[in-house]
Amino acid sequence: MKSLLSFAMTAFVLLGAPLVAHACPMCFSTGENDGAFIYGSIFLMVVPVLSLGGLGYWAYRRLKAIDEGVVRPDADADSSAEAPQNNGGNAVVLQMSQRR
Amino acid sequence: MQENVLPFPRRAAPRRQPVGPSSVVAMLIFIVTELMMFAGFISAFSITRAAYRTWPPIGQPRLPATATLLNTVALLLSGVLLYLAHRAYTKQPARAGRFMLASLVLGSFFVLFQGYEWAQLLAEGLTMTSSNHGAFFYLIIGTHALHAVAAILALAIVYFKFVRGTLQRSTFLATQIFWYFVVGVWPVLYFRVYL
Repeated sequence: MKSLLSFAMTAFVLLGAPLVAHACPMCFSTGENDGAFIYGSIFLMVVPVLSLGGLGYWAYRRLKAIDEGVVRPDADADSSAEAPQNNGGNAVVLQMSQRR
Repeated sequence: MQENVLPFPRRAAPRRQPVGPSSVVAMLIFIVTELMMFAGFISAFSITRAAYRTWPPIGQPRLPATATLLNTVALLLSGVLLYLAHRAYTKQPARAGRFMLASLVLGSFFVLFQGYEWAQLLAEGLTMTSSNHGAFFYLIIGTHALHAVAAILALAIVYFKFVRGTLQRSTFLATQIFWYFVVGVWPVLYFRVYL
């Protein structure tokens, strides 16, 4: 009984589904900018994949380099003890360069 | 009793290494979200533009593409100078401050020039409500300008910290990433919106 009811409800929804969806920009397209819709959709799908993939790849390479000892884990980290003192311009910079 | 109890097998938790300074990782994640926002803007603009036979629409002023090209060069040069500052920071630290300041000046020139350009366009009748052309121009280029202003403020803070000797390496790196993003996304906007 339950499955019959589910089937009936699904069939009702599918039969009643509108041919034009108001949330679908393609349904209201004049035909002149269909290509822009398609390329825009592809562009929007590619950007997050590339950017998140790039971020993940950077993290993977970086962790691998740390594991292999090529990069120190604290290579770019700050240390308050090593922070340059306020003794003016270039002398400060020289002090920072000696950290590496 | 105690002798019969087997110890619970415990596996040593893998030691986690930070992938980088928190400020740098946070900035990278922020940039990913910003990229998506600009991608959305560009996509919406492209779809709208494709519906018009001529662009800009009839009766709307043309954007000053040639003058902005000069501004584009200034911004790109600013990015190069910041990269040189990064290199000098570790190899020739005495020059780093000069490169940073030059980058800051060029970045400020870019924003001021854009302000001048906007004033001219407003005088010609291009506003947010005048057409889709104006709406998208101010939305996309204005959002980029906001980022540029924020990045310039960050660069100024970095420069003053550098002069005072309180600049931390991770702060400099995070600011650089932000500025490279502002510089890197501009040519895409220029080619798409201005040309």
